[in-house]
Amino acid sequence: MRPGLAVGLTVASVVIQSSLLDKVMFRGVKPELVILAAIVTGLLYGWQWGLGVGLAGGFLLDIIVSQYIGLHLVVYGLTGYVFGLLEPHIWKGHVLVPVLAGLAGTLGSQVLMYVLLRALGYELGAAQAWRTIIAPVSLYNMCLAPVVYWLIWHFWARHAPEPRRL
Amino acid sequence: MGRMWRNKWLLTAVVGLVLVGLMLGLTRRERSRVTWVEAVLADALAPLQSFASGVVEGAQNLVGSVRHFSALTEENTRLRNELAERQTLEVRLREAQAENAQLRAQLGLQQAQPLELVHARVIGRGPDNWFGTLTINRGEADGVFKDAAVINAQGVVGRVSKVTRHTATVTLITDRSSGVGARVLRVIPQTRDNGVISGEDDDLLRLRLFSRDTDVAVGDLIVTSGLSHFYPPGLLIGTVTEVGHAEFGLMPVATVEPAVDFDRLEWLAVVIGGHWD
Repeated sequence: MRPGLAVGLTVASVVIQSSLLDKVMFRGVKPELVILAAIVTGLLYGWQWGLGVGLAGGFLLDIIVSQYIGLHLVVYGLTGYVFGLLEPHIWKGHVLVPVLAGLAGTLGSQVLMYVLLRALGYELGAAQAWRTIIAPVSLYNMCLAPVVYWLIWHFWARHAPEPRRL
Repeated sequence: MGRMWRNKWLLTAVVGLVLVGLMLGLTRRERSRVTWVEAVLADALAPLQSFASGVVEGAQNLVGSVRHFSALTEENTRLRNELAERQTLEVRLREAQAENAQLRAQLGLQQAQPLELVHARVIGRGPDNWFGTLTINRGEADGVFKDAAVINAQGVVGRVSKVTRHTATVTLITDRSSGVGARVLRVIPQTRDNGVISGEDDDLLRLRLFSRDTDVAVGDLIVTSGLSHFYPPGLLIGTVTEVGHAEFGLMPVATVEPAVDFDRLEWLAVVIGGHWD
């Protein structure tokens, strides 16, 4: 993957997430495209790319939210890094890879987000957070993950056939 | 060599986490001003967000117009009839306003001025599911300021929580951090009980009333009381759907369904001036 493409992917996913995805809300939630981008780039290209996309995308989201700056950066960066570590160990062509990664990554990141928010004084009950945000977003992202995975793999493979290390 | 690299990465990670911790600590509360980095990045993202939401809205409107052509024709006829009725009402309203102005002048009260509004388009939503915010395409350059009330034709939308040169972030009234002075609006039997309304875990609002002896009932309208400095009085907030009590309190709490459809916000108005008593 080329750095320019990674920047384009990050900015595009942030713009889409912050301006378009509310048109496709399901049960009051919208998918978390930026976390999917971090997970997928990590899985396909390694931890450096997963970490980079997660940190950059998370920081831009923090700027848009303008409160708790650093929250998305940490959570998304860590998620991209963890899934990047799996890159040498997975069979990238298996259909279950994006499905399970989308579910586990989103679930983990949303739980971590909730824990950090609570630690910072954000008041929201655990059961309520689980029912209204964490569970529906994780399921939504699980369904969307194969599409994002396929798009990034096929589109980027055409531009950078050999994944390149930083 | 490998150990040195590992230590270098570890050191970078630790320093990074300390910096992030500091940032989180400094920004966990709402700030009066944003840093120049945030302002530059927010203004740089705004045209992209505006373009993306404009394209989708255009496509949606086009598809909607084609799909619902007959319904739109019927709606057009209905709206024309409603407009004719409203024009009659407007004449009566103007008469009442003139009478009101005359009476206020006699009593020596300051005349209420019409609200000064800046109209803005929604170009972005809260980027995740944790915060109820949206971004509009008007900022300081257009007179928008922090804490200004944001409304639309349906009622109160929220308030400006961050402003840059050309954009502003609006915290929705359904967000937990919101808190607006509100009162019950009922003519017969008349009641004007006051309280504070704020968001909860769901999409509904909770009105905590100041008086134990309130007779607030399901179906009552809730409007802004004017006690919150930036919200003019009389703006519609929503309708009471349930009345109960706080978990460990004696004060009544009313559940209020917002008048605004937050899923379909396209154009808003920011209240940047006007005098109200």
